[in-house]
Amino acid sequence: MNRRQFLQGSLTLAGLSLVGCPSGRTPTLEGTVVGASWQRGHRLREASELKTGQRLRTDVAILGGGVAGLSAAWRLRRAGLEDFLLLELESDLGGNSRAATYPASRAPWGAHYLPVPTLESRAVIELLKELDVMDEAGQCREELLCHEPQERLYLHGRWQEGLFPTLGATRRDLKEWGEFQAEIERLRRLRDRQGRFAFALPAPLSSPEWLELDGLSMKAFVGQKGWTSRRLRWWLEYACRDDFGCSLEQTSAWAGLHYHAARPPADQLLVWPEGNAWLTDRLAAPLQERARTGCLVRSVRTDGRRVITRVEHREGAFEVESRRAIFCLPSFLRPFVLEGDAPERFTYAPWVVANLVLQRGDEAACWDNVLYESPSLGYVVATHQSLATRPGPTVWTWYRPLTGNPVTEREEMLARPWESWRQEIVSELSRPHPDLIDRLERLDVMLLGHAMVRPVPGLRASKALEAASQPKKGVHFAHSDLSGFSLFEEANYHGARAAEEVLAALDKRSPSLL
Amino acid sequence: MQPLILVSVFLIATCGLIYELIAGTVSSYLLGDSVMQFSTIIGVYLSAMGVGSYLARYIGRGVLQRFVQVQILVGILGGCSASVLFLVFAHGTGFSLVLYCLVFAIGTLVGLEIPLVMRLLKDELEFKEIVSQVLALDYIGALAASLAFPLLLVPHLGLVRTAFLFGLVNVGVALAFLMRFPPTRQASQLLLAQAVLAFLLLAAGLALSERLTTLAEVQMFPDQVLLARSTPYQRLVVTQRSGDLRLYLNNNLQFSSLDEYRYHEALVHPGLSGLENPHKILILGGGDGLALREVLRYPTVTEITLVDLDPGMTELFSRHPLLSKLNEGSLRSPRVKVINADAFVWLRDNPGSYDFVLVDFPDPSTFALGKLYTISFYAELKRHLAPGGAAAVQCTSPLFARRSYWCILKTMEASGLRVRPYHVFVPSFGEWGFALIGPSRPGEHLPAGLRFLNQAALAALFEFPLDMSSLPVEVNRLSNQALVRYYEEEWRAVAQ
Repeated sequence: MNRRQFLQGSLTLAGLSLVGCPSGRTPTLEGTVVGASWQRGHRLREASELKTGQRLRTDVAILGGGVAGLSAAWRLRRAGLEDFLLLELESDLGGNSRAATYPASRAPWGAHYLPVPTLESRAVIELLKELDVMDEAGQCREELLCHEPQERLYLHGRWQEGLFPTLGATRRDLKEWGEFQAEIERLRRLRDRQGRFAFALPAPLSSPEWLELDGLSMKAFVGQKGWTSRRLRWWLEYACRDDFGCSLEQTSAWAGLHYHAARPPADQLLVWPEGNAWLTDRLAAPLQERARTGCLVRSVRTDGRRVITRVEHREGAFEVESRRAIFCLPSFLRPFVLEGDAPERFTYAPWVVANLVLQRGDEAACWDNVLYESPSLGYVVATHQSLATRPGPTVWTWYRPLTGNPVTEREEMLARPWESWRQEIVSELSRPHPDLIDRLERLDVMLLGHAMVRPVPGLRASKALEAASQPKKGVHFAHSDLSGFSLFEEANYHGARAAEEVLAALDKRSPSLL
Repeated sequence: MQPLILVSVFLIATCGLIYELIAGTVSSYLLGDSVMQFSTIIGVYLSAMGVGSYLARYIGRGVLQRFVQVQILVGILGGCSASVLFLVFAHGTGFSLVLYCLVFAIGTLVGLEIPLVMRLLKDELEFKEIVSQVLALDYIGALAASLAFPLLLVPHLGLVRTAFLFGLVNVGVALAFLMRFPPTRQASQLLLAQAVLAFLLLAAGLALSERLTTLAEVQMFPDQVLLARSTPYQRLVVTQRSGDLRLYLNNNLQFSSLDEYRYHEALVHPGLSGLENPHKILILGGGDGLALREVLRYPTVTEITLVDLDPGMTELFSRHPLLSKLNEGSLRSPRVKVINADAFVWLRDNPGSYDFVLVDFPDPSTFALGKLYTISFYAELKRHLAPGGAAAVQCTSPLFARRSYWCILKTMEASGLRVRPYHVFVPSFGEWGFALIGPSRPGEHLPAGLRFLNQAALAALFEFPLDMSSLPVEVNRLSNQALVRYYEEEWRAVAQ
């Protein structure tokens, strides 16, 4: 199974400005915990009167520069609406798709791949065609498809190909795995009378008929099926941790099955050294001065005719008056910013991402390298798509979702010093790579407090997602959390959807991409 | 005096047999035919011992000193024997002469030992005691040596270190004698100095033998190892056996000098001779300069670029006398520019089009090498072909790895190249396959001086019998590496 990406910035994303480049070889390992914008973000909790400075006027204000916000801007531009202003807290656009830059390679700070889209992800397909990733026939450029060997798993002291732990598996393990795959194959084909898939990507296009699965946890679902294989449970939980930052128990069965059933059996991945920053950089490039970074959105007020957004910036506060606004920040911020708006049930998993700069990669490395029954998700190799036949300097990006109670996990995460993360990461990866410390030049850690919305049981079935997606008095909403999970396709869908709502409201006619 | 001498007899008997076994083993490794090697070496050694025993009668006074001198000399000669033999074999000529001279010299000195020892004991024991004790220990020492040598010494120490170790034993005996019977005269001081010097020499040899033992890799190769070296990219081993030079990269045979002309003529000429006026040529891989040698037969060719990953390889084949003789100094030709780079990356980063491109990479045995056989690679190759240009590609064996071969062909076609499959029989490899892109009339202008290809042989290259004919296979992509999987399955089956 493939790791999926997680998306769209939250205020606790850390800034990239502190990422330094290693200057030469030093005997001790260098590195930092990068970024601290969460401290600025937390000022939203304080009530304070802002002295307003200048007032800017625009047709559309886009609040948030992650994938949803960038997709909304992209969609407006495609319809010829150029009068908009995008506001972003961090110094770089991209949200969870931002990247680090090292001499050896660029490397992701979060989302690191995009599966070749399913036919339902029409906006993503249009975007990929525009960026010349996909041709008119729907074929993706081969050099961007993840090269083989793609995935390997470390168990019993050795690497095996593929992520399901087949090395030393019992007949029962394999039988249950086979049963799971057969079940997924059945679910993959399920459609309602209107032809909607039970599990569609983007998720809002799914049929509501199978939503009772959302009341169940993935763990309960596995229990109902009578599957007891430890390996199968590990593998299923790996998928949930990878995609949602959740344990089996925290994941709704609908979401857990969506991971597998919404895509074709052997889906191909588009990968780049910098991960999905390759995409967001290209979405951001044409915006120029229409995107402003370092902007903390303090409040959004609306009277139905116009929307006033008050913004804090180091060069002074200002206001944006717009006919419409697209709110592309994570939904948990809405009570702090929008008067009288308090969507419920949204919770977020914290993540730790580390970039390890290595003098020399591993000849046998796959793109994705996972350790069986390890708290982390393993690492991906930034230079995997290199055409060279010998391993050179590289960057490994290591991921760990914190799947305990989000509130306590977040506090503990922010309190841990760099040395403690280094200790954890180096000792874990030294198991398969005993010489790691000799090759490791730098280790930077990114702490993401609200990295991913958690698709807990009941979130979708409660209709909270639909309710939170409805526009309110000129403010439209777009974020992957409105789909209940953090995927590029979902963020892009909501960005394009909200932009199309705005286009319709402003009488700009344009054929839908949804 | 008596106990020291008797212990010494045991030790020197062991040493003597060890040297004999080392000589036999080294020559068997290096020259093959172990029955012949062991027979002749035992013969020469025993007869030399006879000569030594006979010569003992000419030693009059100073038996003790002569014995010490013999020990030092045996220690040096025997101790260095294995390394000297390997080095002579790798870098010099006249291996057999050196081998038999060394065996004869050691044998003669060992032959001197027993008569001298008996004379040292003649004042202490009765004659019948001397003979029975000395000979008994001599034979028991031989038994110890013959058991320890195959069971302990060769497996754990290797030949070179074993030799140095027993050389130290001989010199140790000499030193023990000098200590036990302290020298009084100046000549004896000199002896002590010699023994200490010999001891240091052998100890140094033992310490440095790690480097010398790489030569013991001969065990892995059927023939004499002429040269073995590790570059950052691969392990290069060149072997030789009566005029047959062979190159192994990471233990895979790359060519045998006896039949490489078949391979390289088949790789180069069908394509290149089909062009009217080829000027610019690109060779990817082929750091041995052998395909280059064939390309240089065309006088119209003015500019050849050879891209090979490993500078160790191209330097070796341009400098080593035997190897550059084999490629006729092709790598030093003024028409050639050698670039050491990763071929795929170089191709992507460098513009330029070529009249003829030769692709001669190692077989797709790893995912890294598999990249060089993908649709993306062939698309790059196509970009670098001049209008009307041609190319030839080595494609592994269509007989042993039939699906791999056709997978490569199908991949090239999928990249938009028009490809003709052909193959040649190379005795040291078996049936080998290639792919030809372009020219309409292969073989139109065959150069003079070929050893294999004529028009009839050329036509036969393109005929495929049933057991090598096309099969349904997947296209090899960076994103599936289908070829590496075919290749692994097929060659594993061959190995079994």
